[in-house]
Amino acid sequence: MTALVARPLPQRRMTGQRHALVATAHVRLMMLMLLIAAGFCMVIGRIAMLGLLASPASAQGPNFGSLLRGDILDRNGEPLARTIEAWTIGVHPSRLLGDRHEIAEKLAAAMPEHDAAYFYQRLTLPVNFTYLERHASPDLVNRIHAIGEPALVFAQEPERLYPQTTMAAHVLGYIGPTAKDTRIMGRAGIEREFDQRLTDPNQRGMPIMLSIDSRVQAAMESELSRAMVSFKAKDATGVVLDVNTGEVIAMVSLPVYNPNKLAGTGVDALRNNVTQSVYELGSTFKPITMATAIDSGVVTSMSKRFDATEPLHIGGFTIHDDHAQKRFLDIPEALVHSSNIATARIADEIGKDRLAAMFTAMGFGERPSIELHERAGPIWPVYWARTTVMTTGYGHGIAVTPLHLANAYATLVNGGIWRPTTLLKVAPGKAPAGRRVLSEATSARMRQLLRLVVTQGTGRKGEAPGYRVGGKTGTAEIAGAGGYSKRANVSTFAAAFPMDAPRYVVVAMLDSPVGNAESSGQTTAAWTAAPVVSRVISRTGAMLGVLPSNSRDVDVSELLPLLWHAPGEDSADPE
Amino acid sequence: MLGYAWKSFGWFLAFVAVALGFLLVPLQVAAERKKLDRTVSQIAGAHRDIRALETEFDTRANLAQLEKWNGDTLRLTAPAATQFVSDAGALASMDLQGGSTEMASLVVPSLPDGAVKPAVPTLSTAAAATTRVADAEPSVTGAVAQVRDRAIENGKAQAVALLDRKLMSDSTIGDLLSGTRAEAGVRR
Repeated sequence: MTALVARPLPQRRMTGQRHALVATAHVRLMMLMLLIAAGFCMVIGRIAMLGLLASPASAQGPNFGSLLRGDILDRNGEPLARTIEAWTIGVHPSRLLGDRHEIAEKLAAAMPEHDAAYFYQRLTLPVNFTYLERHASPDLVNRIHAIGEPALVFAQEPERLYPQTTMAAHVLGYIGPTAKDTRIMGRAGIEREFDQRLTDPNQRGMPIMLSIDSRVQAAMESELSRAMVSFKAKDATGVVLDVNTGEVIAMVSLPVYNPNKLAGTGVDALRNNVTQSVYELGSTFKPITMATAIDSGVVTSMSKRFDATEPLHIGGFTIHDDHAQKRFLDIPEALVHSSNIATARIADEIGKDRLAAMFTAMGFGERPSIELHERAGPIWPVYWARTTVMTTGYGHGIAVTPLHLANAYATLVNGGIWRPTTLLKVAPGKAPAGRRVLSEATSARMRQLLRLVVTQGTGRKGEAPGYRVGGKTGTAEIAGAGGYSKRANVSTFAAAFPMDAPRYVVVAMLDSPVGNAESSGQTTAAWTAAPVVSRVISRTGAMLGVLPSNSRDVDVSELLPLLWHAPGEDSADPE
Repeated sequence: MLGYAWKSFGWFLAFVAVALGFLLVPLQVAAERKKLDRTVSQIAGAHRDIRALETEFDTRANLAQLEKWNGDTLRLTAPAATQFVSDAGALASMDLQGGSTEMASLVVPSLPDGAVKPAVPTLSTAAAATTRVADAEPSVTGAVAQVRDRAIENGKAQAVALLDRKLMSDSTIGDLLSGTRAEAGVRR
């Protein structure tokens, strides 16, 4: 009581203030609590949302929606090379829990290509990880998974697959590491040439479209390999070329390899004989010589005759005819009978400068122009002696690739325009302009002459009914140590069709064929290579858009009277 | 005092509600985006599967394999020059009744879709497929009959394009004509 000295009013105010302060504090505490609660709610809500709505991590692969390497398609969009995700089965040998013998038995039962001993050896390897199978089917993965061994692991790895296996292998090439370079990249063919383009992240989504037509390629491969096996040839090549655009429709080199599985492939199989091997192509050069003669004015009339009565002796060198006519031959006869003597005389009249200029214009002086790394340069005569001019006139003493020859024939028949060959599809109307090598008139004459060779001469077996084939056979002896071999030869048939309006050139070549019953024991091109071309054209002509017709043909009536037939002449004297 | 506290608490609640509302919008957007991403990845996955399947079909039915099958069983040959006609006029003027022209191109012994199982390419598969082709034939005629019945039931006015008499056998033409008559009867 006595101590109560303070004034009541300010004290009351203090109490009121305190009340207010406490209330404010309460409110603030409440707010803080609610804020924290709201924060918790938000976090919980977010977690719930993520748990409910988010997709599982496995749904999004690391290479989501993108290809590692672009596709390669043929001209009709058929895939020739693709990258897919393939299952691989591997094992961590150190982490194996079960009995190794038992697991090896089960693995051998699932993968019968290897026995249990092989798998046991893999399971006991002193490594952390090893592959068991690289191209496993999902079914096989399921079966291996059912073994229930945690050390057996599975993964999907990108893998380059060539669905048509060996088809067009030399065109496509392959990818992989080499002994020196461990990076996986294109090592041959298109895969090598366009490696940058196929792996560039901005461009790999767009497939590369080749000029190859897989149907034609397959037909050419099957016919050539049939002939190669039948005639026991060392190797065989085939080319189909669009004469107006320079597109390579088919390019076959046998023996072939499987780009899906390179292990154990020989060096011979890896070589692309179409662009990497050069051959002396023999009589198939004669039309080029004739075209040079006609174009340069050496031969102005088809009836101009050249002496082929006896072998030609020149500079210690003798030029023979395989089927000597022993008479004067005019131009159509020289080609139809494939006379070396007459052609040598014509080449002599043409002279070194004009013949070499023509060969250069045909591209024989350089490597074939094509989008491949595997290209070989031709063997060009070191010194043009008079005999060299004569022999190159009929295809000896100069060696070119089969692709060179195909392109030269395209130039002969397409109106005289040389174009670079290409493996990429050319859009309609976008063909390169090329350069004029022969006049239009010369080309027209060559069409007649080549057609005559097939209807009247050595190329009869190259005819495909309705497709108006024209072409020239060539059987060249193979040059080796100690001169030309009498037994081994290179048999070539270079053809174009349809001769009234040429669209495609087809070249087939067999290296060192052995005669058999099918060829009546002959090894010449007429019996070995020409039937291949005939069959390929019969099988694919319509697919290539050439309508077969028995009522159309190139007009050869002005040349027919120039062919003299001996009484009782054997119609089949092929060379 | 308490009223003031409740009032500010009310304000606070309102603020929280609005803030949460605003927060929910981006959350909703993010959720939708996630769903979209999932759909896109599903589409990409489906594309990958399609690609893998296509590649498998292409590999199993590669041209070398098809040729082997053709050689083993089908024995199809490339059409000969005489089997091509240049224009419609030539086709119309072809004499098909005479029996001299063999219509090899009309009979195409190809496998129907789905008949070929993606199995290991062996001779037995090809043989099985051919027997299945034989089985399939009656069902096709059955289907044709069904279609015709339905057309009659519905009584639809259908224009029957009468094909060239040459291209069909007499019995087929007869069937068609009787079908048309029946149809006309139903309509009446």
